[in-house]
Amino acid sequence: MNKFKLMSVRPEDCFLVEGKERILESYEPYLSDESKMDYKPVSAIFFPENTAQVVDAVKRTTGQGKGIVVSASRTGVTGGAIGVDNASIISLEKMTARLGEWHFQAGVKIEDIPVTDKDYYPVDPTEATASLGGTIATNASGPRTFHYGATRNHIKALTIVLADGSVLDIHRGEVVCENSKFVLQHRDGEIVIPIVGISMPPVKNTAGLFLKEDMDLVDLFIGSEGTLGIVTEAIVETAPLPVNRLFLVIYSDTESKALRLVEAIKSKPRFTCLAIEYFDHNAIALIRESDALLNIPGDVVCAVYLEILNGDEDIQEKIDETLASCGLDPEWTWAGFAEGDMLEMKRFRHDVPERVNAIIGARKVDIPGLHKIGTDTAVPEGQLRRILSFARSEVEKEGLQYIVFGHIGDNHLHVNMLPRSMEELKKAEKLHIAIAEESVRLGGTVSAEHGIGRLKKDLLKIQFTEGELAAMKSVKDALDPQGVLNPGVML
Amino acid sequence: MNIVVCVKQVPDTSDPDTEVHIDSTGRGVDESKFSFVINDADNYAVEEAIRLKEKHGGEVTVVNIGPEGANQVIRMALAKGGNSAIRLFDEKFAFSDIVATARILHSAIKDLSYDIVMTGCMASDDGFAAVGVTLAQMLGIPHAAMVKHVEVIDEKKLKVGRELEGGLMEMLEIEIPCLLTIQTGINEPRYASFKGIREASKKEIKLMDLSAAGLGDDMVGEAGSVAVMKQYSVPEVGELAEMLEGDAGETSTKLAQILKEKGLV
Repeated sequence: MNKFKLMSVRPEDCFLVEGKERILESYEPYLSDESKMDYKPVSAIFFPENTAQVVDAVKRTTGQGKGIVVSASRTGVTGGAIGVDNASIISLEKMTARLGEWHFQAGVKIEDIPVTDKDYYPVDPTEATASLGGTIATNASGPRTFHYGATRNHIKALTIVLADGSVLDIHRGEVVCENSKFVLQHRDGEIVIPIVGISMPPVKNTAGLFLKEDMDLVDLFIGSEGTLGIVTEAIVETAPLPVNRLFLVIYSDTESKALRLVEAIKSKPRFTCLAIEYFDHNAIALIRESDALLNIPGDVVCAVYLEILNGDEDIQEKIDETLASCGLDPEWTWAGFAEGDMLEMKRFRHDVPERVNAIIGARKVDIPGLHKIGTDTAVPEGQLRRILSFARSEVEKEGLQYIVFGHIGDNHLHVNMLPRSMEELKKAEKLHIAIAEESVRLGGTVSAEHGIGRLKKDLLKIQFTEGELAAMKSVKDALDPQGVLNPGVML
Repeated sequence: MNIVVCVKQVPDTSDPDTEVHIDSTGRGVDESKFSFVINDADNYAVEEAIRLKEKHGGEVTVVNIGPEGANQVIRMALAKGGNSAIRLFDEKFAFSDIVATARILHSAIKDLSYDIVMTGCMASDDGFAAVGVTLAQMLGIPHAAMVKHVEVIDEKKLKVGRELEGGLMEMLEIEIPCLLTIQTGINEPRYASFKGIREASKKEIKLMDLSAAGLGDDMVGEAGSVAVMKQYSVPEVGELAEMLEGDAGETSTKLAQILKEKGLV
């Protein structure tokens, strides 16, 4: 069935802070996010505590002809939650209630979603303080996406406040696209959402709207970056808690051996990997500089991190054989099987982006306009070596400082370029476009996990045709004809 | 150079978000909120023991008192280079104080052939810093506490450095066999390799309960303790603490006012 009735929820008074001056003085952090993009003061920030208060905030804002910026933890890196002209912010940060066993308000942080003896919510974005709603809006992913898939695979139901203040409460499987449309009915008539299927790359993807002829209505809102409606509640799908895991950092003296290992694990899996991550020689050099306690052997060039389900009796032998077949030494590893070991390895992995930010932060003191340029592209199976070699040769040709790290299991590596001058920044921006174009040429995406936001809108044109972008725009026009929700984001 | 190293599994409180909650009995904490790790000082003791073994030969035996979950820290010590392990566990060991704990360790160690017994200088969970020296007394061997340097002089003597206040190092000679409580920072503990973990998984961990330890009910737990733990409590908020109420705007305004009144800004 492609028809569904919208709910009319009586608005409840929502607490707000008003006045640009007061907001700039006491609430300035609410105007920015991790993108560090330039922001504008807004005239009001709403702090709803439930869906009815979100309805109130939406009606009061749109009634004044203003746009709405949706925010919560503000951990996004593409500027989706920054203050913009002629808009109010609706911050969902107070909406952190647990409404049922796995039913939460959208402001709950991913790290606060409980783990039971048997089950857990397996979506693990690098930034665990991200809000559930934010991760739904961006179809967020993380290291374990390799095994579990991205957020989309783990959302059973959503409550959404639309631009007109009506409320959509949908469970997966209830509303499926038929005759190329969804029909949402309310008292005054109906909203017809035209759906034209567009080509989606066979990789994890957060670029653009998710549009398929036979899609579920829940999926339309996942990854829509708050442009179609405000997610206020969600019921998540859990996975069995893996009780016995092995965590491995495998050091290699050549990149080729490390890539061979990743290919071997993926092409002929002999054990179950939850996550496969990669750190190239430049990333290892950064880690060496920062933390002497991590005593990485001297000849190490690069490293692969594996999180393995440790259930099988022969698993250690299988891992040993796989390492040996790739010319890797089981002694040249850092291994653990306790939560504490995993947390220490997480520190090792998180050290890389933190070091990058510290280096850029220091350079910004002299050159304030400087920032890092990080790619977020992913390519289909079999294309990883091509994109890696393309990115390396192009960046090295320009003499830029750079590192490569990330979710190699999903063919999703971040090339972070660290410009030392405004001239290098321009070069890095051009290279970002070139790497995105090459990824799309290889059948991949321009954005696998960060989303498009306000920062990466230019990249959408690389991935989608004008017709496909028009199909997305017509969905936006049907649900938000005045363009009030997250103005300037994605479309 | 045969070495026995005692390791304890403790809650991982290195994460600043870790919250300690007292359980309903008032005599324990809610352990479901923690992950567990090897006690920090014990990790250094394991490393020091393995380094001495690698340099002078011999074997390292790992000894632990703990439930099955403690096998994780034992296996890790074995993966790094320990040769064998003993885990002591019995429900009756619960609420053992330092004397009863040292007695349990003594029961397993007294019949082993050792030159040095090592413990961490202090456990991060109870902070007693006394089990090691009590164990030395029971074993009838000399000890040095807070050790930050170990050097073998010959088969009969060690040169050890003890860390004192202000960074002073007290160097002394001590006869073998002896017990050393190891201070953090004595070395840089290694990580276990996958090869080490593979080898460790094949090593047996010998289990000893109350009867295998040759102890009676009255020698362990509360009955065998001279100090009985009665209750945990959280310190009350002092009178000098003022909790600011309100939203971010209101609290920051109040805070600014207070700082101004106190002449701090």
